[in-house]
Amino acid sequence: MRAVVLRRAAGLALLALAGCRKAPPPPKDAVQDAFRDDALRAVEARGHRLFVQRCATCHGPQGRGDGQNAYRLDPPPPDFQASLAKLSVADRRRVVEDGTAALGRSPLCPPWGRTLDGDEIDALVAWLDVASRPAPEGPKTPSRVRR
Amino acid sequence: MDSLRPGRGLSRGISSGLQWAFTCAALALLGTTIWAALAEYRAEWRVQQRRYRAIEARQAAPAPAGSGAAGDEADEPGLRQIWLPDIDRVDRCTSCHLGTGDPALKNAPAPFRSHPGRWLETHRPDRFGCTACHGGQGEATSYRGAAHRRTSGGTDPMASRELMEARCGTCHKERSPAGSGWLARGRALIADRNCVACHELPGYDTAQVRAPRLDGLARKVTPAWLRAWLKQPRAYFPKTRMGEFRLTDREIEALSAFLLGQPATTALDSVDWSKADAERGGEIFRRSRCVTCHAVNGRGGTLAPELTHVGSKVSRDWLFTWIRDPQRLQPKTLMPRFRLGDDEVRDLAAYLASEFSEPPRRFEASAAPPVAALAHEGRRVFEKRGCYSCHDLEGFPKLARIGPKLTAVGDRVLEPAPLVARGIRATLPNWLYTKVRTPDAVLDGARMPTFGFSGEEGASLAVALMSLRAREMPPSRTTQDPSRPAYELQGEFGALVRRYRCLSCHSIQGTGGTLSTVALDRIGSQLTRQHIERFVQKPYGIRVGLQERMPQLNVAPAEARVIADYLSRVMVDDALELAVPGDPATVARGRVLFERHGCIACHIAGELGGYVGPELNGSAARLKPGWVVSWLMAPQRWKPGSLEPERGLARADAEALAAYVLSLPARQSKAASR
Repeated sequence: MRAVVLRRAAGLALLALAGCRKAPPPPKDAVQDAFRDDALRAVEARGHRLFVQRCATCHGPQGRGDGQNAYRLDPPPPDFQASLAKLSVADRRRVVEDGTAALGRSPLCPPWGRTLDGDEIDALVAWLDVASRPAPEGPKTPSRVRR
Repeated sequence: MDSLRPGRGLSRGISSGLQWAFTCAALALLGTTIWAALAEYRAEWRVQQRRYRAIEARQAAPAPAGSGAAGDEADEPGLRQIWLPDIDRVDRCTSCHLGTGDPALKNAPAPFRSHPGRWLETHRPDRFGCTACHGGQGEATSYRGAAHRRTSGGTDPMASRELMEARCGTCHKERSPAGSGWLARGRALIADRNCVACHELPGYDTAQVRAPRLDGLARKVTPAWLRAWLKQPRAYFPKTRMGEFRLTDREIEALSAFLLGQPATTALDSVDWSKADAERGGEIFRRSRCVTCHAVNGRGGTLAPELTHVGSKVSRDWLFTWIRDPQRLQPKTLMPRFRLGDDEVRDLAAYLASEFSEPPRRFEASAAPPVAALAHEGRRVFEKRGCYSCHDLEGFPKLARIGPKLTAVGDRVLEPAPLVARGIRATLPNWLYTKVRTPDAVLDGARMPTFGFSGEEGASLAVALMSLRAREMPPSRTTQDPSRPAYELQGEFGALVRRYRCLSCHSIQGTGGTLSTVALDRIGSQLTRQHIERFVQKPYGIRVGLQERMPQLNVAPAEARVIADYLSRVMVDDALELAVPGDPATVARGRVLFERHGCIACHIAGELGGYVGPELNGSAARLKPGWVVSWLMAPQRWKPGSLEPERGLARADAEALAAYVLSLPARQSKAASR
């Protein structure tokens, strides 16, 4: 009888000890998590906003060449995941600023160098880097390690 | 004998104990001095400056000498600081961050790296310092002291990249500052969700609050709908502005009884429903392009409520009266008064009532008549939860706002203990985020409704609210949207603008809606009078790819003449009234330019072309030549954000292009017949 009581007491004490050792987890910073849900860096996110606004009608929202106007174009806009690898960063910038005609291609992609300012061009070129990589988690979240 | 010992005279009269004390004090002083000198020598900023000079020396070795003045200046050792008396800041960050302005140090190690982006071109460090944008403690000269990381104490730590936008917002007071994401989204949400009805928010106007008047509700909606709506508005209309007030069943019962007992101030029109033809109503529904503003099954416009279940909500008689003259029932409505015959309105109402009669799933409530005895209790609920803040109701003047002032919410001091007890991290952005998304998680019995903001929306709101600080920046440092004095258009034209609610979609001098891509400021110099007169009577899709089209308002011919006369005489810009040469040589040159610039990618000319911009066939009947030239030369000047890029065309080239565009004949299958 006494042994049982002792064992129970010991068990309780152990439990209490275990409880003490486990500190409550610190509350999470929900707003920073919400910021982080945006898989893109700030400059890329800005580039993507500009891309959706200015380019997506032809190129599609993720640059897959599937914009609503794409089928009206000859040559059609390319899928960036396949095509951009062949283009150096300097050439990408040239196309954004001076249009495809600057590389001796069709004039269908217009020049944005006089419309967008330097930061905006930087942001677009930064996003093109994201668009050139395959997105494993579906089309909506371009893969990217933050910062 | 003793007196012969040297040095004895010096210590005469001083006990050996005191001697010891002096020796110790001297040694301590020496030690402290050495320690102080060492500490000063090893101060973080000095260590960093030595590291910087070492890096510079390594970099400068292969490069030719005399690289630039900026480098030489940074070479001089010493504490650096930027003093900005007007905003009371002393920033010593550049004592360690030595390479911020030097593009050559783009890939240098951490404190010396050059500043990313081109921000310093527009925000010169000598004028803006560092902490005005980044936050943190500018006077500190150590990593810890500057609060680079979030601290638990009350010090203002450096802002994360996203929260820096809140700091942008303390000076950039525009609704949508260029280049901001979170801040602009948050400010747009604050404006859209009627926050200003309950909270005082600088820069937002209660005139923008949108909510229906509530008198005569009993003839409009069914008790079942009202109960279900009060319980969960988003179950009926996912994009509604109204939040969920987390009411108990008894409160809902009482509030319904109170609201359904409110007398009507206007009578409903009656109509003989036996002759109603819902099928014809469906045709009118499609022809009138109701979906430009109203969504059906989640597709369509967002300017007005979704119609998917409207038949289960409102009575036929109310629908008839509403469509006939929406402005009589809700004077502040954005909905135009379509020119439809009474039989057409009847058919349209019958169509809406029968086609969309299905109530939403998860939308079950008792249809029993409300218990009138509870009305008194309902009135208290109405007052306590501040329903009158958004909704107009006779007898409830908007005397004071129900919610707390948010004018300085970015400087609010939190009481951490109660938040930590609830498992909420007690930082201001996190509190704001949690509060706007789930008010009852922060405070028991919170009066604020749950709006169902997503994580992204909550974070945007937190950023926008964080930009409201107690200490205003001096006016010389702030930028604002241009102030827009509201003005009322007068006369016959003004009456038509009000009747057809043109300014729900179009804007004049920045006042009005944004649904339409066409501002009316100089429309009389852009479009021919003849085209305006035809178009307002029978609008069609100018931009084929655009889903929103101007609704078919059935403007009468006489009204169309008034509108066309007014727009082509008053809404003009003399600088646009130019003649354009149309000789064959110029047209031929324009054709070459048209092909060279790839215009066909976006515009239809002949049979080919894109669906982005307007079709160009038959432009001469629509567009004025001077406008086409001015547009081609500087599209972004006339419509900032337009998809037509600037090409820097010379006037002669723009004229040639315009001549070619205006020479394109109209297609046989006229767009107008669509």
